Amino acid sequence: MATFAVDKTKNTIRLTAMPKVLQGLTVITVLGLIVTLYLGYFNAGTDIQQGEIQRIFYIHMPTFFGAFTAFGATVLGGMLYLAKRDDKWDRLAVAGVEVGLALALINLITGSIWARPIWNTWWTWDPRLTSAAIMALTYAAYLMLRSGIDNLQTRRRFASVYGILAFSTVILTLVIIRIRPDTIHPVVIGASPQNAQGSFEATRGVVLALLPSLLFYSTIVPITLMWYRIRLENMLDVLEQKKIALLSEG
Amino acid sequence: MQKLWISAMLVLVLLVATIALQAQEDEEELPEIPYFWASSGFNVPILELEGWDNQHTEDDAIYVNADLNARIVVTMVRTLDDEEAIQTATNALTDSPLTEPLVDSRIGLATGTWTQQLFSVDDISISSFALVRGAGTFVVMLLEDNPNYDVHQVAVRSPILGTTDDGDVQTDFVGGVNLALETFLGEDTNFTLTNSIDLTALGLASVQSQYSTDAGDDLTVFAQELGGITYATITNTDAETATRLGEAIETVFLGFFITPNNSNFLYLGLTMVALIFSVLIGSMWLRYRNVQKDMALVEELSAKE
Amino acid sequence: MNTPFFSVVMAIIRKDLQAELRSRELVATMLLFALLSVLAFSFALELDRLAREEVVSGVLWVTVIFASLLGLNRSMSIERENDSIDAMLLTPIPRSAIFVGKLVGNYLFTATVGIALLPLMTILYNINMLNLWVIATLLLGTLGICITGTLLAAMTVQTRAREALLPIVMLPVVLPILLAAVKATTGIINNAPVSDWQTWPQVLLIVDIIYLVLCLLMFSYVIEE
Repeated sequence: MATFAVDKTKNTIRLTAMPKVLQGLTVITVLGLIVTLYLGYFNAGTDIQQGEIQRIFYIHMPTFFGAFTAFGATVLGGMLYLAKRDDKWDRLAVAGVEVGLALALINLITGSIWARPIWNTWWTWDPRLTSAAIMALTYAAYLMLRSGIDNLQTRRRFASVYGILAFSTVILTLVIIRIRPDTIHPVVIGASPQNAQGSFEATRGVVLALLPSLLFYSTIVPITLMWYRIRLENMLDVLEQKKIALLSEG
Repeated sequence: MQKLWISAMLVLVLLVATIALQAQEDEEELPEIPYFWASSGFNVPILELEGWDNQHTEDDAIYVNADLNARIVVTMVRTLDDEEAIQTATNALTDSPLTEPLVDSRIGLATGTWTQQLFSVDDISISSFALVRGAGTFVVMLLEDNPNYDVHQVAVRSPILGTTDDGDVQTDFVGGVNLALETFLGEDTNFTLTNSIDLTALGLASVQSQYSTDAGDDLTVFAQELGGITYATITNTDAETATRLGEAIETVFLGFFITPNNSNFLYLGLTMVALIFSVLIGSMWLRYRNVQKDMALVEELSAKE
Repeated sequence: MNTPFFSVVMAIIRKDLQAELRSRELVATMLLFALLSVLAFSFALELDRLAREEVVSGVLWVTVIFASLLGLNRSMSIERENDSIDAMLLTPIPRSAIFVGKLVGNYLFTATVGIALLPLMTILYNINMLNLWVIATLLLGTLGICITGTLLAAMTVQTRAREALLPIVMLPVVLPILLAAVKATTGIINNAPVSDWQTWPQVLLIVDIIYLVLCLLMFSYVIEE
């Protein structure tokens, strides 16, 4: 199967076959999904207070950190693009946004589904829920900004700048529990706020399911998905270059 | 790319299989019970028995029966000392200071090891159960303040008769009721059974018995056995009061922490996760297909030039 | 203080102020919009006294943010229409000086509108908002809004959607500022003890500084041509 990698010379792309590492990562991702599912759904005990729905947590929290990794990659890509003007960094940034947005959406939706039986509502305007929703919207705005600019160089520059700025909403979502104690969202690491609703005890089975999930979703899942997305972006860029070349010839 | 696609499908199949498997297990569902979720972190069934009025606050479950002068209160006290928790919780409900408990014992139930303390203060009889969990202690209380009689609730582990061939433990319910009375009255008081009605229904062993003690008191006991534990409601008034109060406190106490089945939400959540991942991967796959087509077209055109 | 950086900043501010004094276009539009918005809120929410105390700071800040969007868009598209940014880029002046110049101009206009809103809302909502701490919070909050707004408006005027895109990209980014500002203002106007709200102006200041450094560093990438 033909795909691409960035050539040594700046901003030119060359076709390559799928690297072995990526193949390996794909296999690990699938295995990881199976293992974390097993740990979360069969190995960990049912929470006596929350019942079965508590298991959704083994995806809910890890996907937030997956989104964090992906959006972090966007910041990194943005900074390196602005510094080096190598298009590959912008491709990393856009891959980070798309993958991060998907993970952030999973985080939001699983949270909402968990809240229905536990808090008796699909959605509440809790500070953390609100900031998490705003975070997802920020990155949707990033994609809109990108599509609103025709000039490729301008698009990459602006996207890099906005990708860096948008990370403030990710940080806000992370710290909002500590700065707004009126949230009802439970804290997993450290003590929950007084009025947190729906915290649970970290028993051995819970930790055994949560830690691997956390590691898996915050590293392997975003990296694998982003890698595929970068390769797609490589192809799109090659196509763009070829089209331009064709037009200038004709 | 193909590998990823196949793997993604595999995961989806796995998820569906998981869901199907679990759904099968869940077929023997308990009847739906309305639950009260307290913001302090516990859940108890809402009493729908006749005569009980739901007066819960955000933090506490409070059920009041005006006819029987009784209250059932579930609360959470921010302390890790069970006796202190019981003191705090009962002080919030009565003006009279607590005396020495009539019964003070510990009992291991499915939800944890509970401390039970029974009091009689003035005209009020209090049965309180405390469980230390997390950052605080949960206290379940039955208060009865009719001046004419007392009602207390005792839980004891039923004596074990032996094990069946299947390995099931057989317990002695009648022995359990006797043990409950002994626990309540103290070892020095003897009592004799005068009348007993078997109320066992739906596999739940229950009995309603009258006893007379050496001291000349007539006692009515309504008892139920669940999971090797005998729950006895002991009173010196009529059987109906005993049954009504006993059923109420046992519904709350046994339903404590048991969460209504919410696995459907879990399946919904997993489906959504699978859906979002498929949309991401699917959109990447589609774009990949399109770009390949366009690429072929561009190559073809540039070859013609 | 006669460095090239400073003189460029002053020149841009002077230019913006002169243009504004002549046309009175920006501040007048923003003020009118803010007034209409405050009135619309008071009709739409039909508030009693208690409810007013709860929401009045929210009304203030939402109005300030929307008014600032109006001003920021206008201020940047003027530069774009006259090609004055391109002209400035031809000269060897530091890019960050252009940013600071535009920022100070935008800030002056937005803060003026914000402060003008205070007596207005005091009358309309019958809640005393003329308090030094409210003004300090307002100055800090609008500063943060203008910092991010100046950078983002410089970007969005170069896009196809132009004015329409600024609210979409700016609102999420100013959310931390909105949060801290509303918290502080609510505490102050409800006469809450100082310890209840004193962290919020500090948070605002920190967020302002972080955004200022980030935007100063990144502005040169936004206007290069």
